[in-house]
Amino acid sequence: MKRLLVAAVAATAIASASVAAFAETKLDVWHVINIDKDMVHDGIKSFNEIDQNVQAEERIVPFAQLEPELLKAIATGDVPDAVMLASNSVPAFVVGNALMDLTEMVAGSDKVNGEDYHPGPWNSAQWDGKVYAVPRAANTLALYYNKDLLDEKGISVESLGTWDGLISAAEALTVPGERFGLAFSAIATEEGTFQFLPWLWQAGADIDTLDTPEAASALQVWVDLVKNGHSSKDVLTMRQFEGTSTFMAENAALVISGPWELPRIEKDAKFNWGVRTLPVKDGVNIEASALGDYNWVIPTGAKDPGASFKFIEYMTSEDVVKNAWDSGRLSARADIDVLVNQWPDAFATFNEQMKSARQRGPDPKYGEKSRVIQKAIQQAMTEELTVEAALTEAAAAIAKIK
Amino acid sequence: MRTFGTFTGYRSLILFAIGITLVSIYLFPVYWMVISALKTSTEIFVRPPTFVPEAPTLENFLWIAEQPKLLTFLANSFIIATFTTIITLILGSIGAYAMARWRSWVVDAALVLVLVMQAFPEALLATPLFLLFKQVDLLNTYTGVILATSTKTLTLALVVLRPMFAQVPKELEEAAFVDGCNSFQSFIQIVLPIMLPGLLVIGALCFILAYGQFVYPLSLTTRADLHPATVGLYGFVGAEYADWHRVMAYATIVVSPVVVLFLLLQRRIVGGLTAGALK
Amino acid sequence: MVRVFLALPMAFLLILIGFPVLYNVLMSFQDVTLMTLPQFMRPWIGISNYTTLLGEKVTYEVLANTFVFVGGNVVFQIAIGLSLALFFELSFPGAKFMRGLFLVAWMLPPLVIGSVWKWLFATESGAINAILGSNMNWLSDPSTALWAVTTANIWFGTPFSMILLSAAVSNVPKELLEAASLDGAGPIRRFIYITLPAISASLLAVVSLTIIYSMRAFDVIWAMTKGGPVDSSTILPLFSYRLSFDEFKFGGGAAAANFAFIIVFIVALIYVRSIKHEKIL
Repeated sequence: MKRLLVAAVAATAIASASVAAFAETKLDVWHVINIDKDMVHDGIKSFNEIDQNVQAEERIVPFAQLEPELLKAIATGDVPDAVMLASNSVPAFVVGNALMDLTEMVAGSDKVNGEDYHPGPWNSAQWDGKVYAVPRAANTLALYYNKDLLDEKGISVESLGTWDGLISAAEALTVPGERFGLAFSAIATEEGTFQFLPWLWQAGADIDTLDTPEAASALQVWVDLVKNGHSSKDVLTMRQFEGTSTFMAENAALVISGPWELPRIEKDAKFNWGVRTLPVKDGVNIEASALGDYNWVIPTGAKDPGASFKFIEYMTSEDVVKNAWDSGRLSARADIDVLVNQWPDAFATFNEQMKSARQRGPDPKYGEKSRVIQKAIQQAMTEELTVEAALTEAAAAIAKIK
Repeated sequence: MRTFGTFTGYRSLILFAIGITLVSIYLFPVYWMVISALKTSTEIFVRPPTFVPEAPTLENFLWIAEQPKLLTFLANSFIIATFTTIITLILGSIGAYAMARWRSWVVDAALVLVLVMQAFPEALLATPLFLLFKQVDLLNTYTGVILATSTKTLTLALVVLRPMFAQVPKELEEAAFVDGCNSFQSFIQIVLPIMLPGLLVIGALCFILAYGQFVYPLSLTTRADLHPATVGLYGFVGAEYADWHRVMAYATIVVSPVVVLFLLLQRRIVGGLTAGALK
Repeated sequence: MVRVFLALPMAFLLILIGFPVLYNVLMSFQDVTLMTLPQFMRPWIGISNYTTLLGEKVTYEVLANTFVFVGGNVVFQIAIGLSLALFFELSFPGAKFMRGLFLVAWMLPPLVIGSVWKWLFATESGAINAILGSNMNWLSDPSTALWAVTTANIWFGTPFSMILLSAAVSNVPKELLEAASLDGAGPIRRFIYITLPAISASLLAVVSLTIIYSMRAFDVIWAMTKGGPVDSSTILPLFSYRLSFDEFKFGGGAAAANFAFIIVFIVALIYVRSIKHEKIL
């Protein structure tokens, strides 16, 4: 074993020596963005033009493989120099000692300032009072509607602003055997949790108060939508974009989804559509949505953290971030006005919704808790358990996760 | 004299019709894949489903064809699959021959080992394999991916070829020994030619298996210019959004060369079986 | 000579896959967290990864699902594969070509197969409900989801079984079949008394491979249901993957995979015992 280690160290030394010989630092950058219009691609290109001696080489990892690949890299000690990690995953990697503490670098940076950021994204970059990540963008959920169908039924967009209004609209818009009122995703992955949390929060509950009447009222809405035939039972296996596809195929009159769908909706939807903020629960009136997108992190053991941080500084600077909306992303920074070249109405809506978007966690055990929630959702929606029983079980399971 | 199992006239026509029906039913999902590639991302989710695309579009195929890395990916797939197949056939045939001829507990143990080593999902094996290949500097090489993939195909070859080799009559080899051949010569000159149809079948299956590998090439190579088409394919399944219609177009393009190759060679591969060298 | 012939492939496998397999077996007895992941010597915790798993209800559900999935795959892949092999062994125009076409199913990437079958099984936009005129929630009903993913995997795996069984069937001595036919044996008797014994060695080999391959199935199920609803279509590889890569319980993930290891080991022992009775030509 020792000999292997010596060999490994020697090999690494040779490898870094050969890099130095070219007087050039190559940054191994991993991300998951495969949409060509996204700012990350031009960002990396222009970063490489600034200094020929520091070159970022991107590796686009298929989304589902990013975390397994990163874990493999950590296990083998062969880590990339910068990674774009889902913001909710950051704390779990932090407590595993897998991410570099950026607190001092941020303190010494004139480009990254916590005050510039919206509180939600900035919170998701921290754990235990230290900074471990820099948010690259933000997104959140809102409600898309088929304007033609709303007009046909005489339903106003304003009336969709409360749970009751949304539920009765979903009922009115449903045509049995032909069309559902509302599409969403209750799939047993993080996407399902991401879609459920806004309801949970709007009801006045949270992840650690699942055994409350408030939480039950949120899950009950989902259960009833499916039971009453206003939403497809297939929401249990539908990803968010599949739900949106049924909306675009006019098999659902409303859909809850994110701004990343805008390019596709604009291109393929053959009807008048619009997007508005999520409804609030009648009488409770808490506005809430879930915050998404990615944070840039530097894995522990990266060969040149200074260079990595320079790269991150650039990727989160105005030069890059101002193009966020090109692929339907919002800026995580409050001090940057993104260029709104398209979808101005949708931009206004999502910008408004962003004010009440909450981060998931930050919590190193968020992933495990999210799984518990997914299970409760599925148990209730398949009527394997009642809403209350499923949530009581889930609350007990979450209490055990420490 | 009519040979056994040959049908003429209307009976063969009926069998032909049944055959066509079976193939059509069986390949319906493949049809669905191809027509999905001709649909827009919306039409895939239309209710009720359209069995013929309403407005077929080649847009997805054209988009894929313009991808700069497509040809590199395809070439990599072919390189990996070809060498994996060669390694597998060489090691597989000698190993299976030994297992068929040598009656010993060693063979039993080896067979159990071969099977058991395949029990783990690749996702779990990828990390230690990465560790191993790092020591011997095989990361980011075709060799590494080919060796890793061969561990999967070799099992298949050993397990399936063993009973086939067992069917080669020993007397043939004994006759060769009388003529002064040593056992290596008799293996090369007598046994392998008899086994050729079987080896072709296994070779084809291994090629297809290697062509479709995903986890090992993804994990053992980080450079996109070494990636096979399967890794390119997964690239379309994104975090928030998957371009399914493009995935289907891509899959159609990726699979087509193998299908064509297979159908061209199939007289030798599948048809070769009935030539029945093993009588 | 035979020793060298056997030693070469075995050395190849042991060197390349022996270490990774041992690494996982070892990990199942260790406490492996993100923190200890980079080290090789992690805290030794004996069998507690196993006892933790065995203390959870979901483990038994997963094991039961795995048995149904693997059992269904073996029975149907072999039954359909053998039937098709026998049918296309009849010589009629195009028989061999048609047989070759079946293999197209086996060439498709599992990810694609999974998503195509997800669409076929979809309640509203799915072709299966449209053809049957039904309104089943194939994938979103816990009582049918496991069978739906099993069906997709059977579809995927059958051509493989069929081609290998075709190879075996075509090697059955034609003289024997003709002689039996002249003695008045019908097709069923000919199958039972001549074909079946002649192909038994290959049949067993294909069965054991089918078990191992379906034991490892991942992508098809992942694309169709992600193991849901409520774990109803989760089998061992998905379970192990989830523990390792979603919950970072690497020891637990390795232990879950070891259940598959144990099952395959038993299958391998049965297989090796049964081939002892093979007749030597």
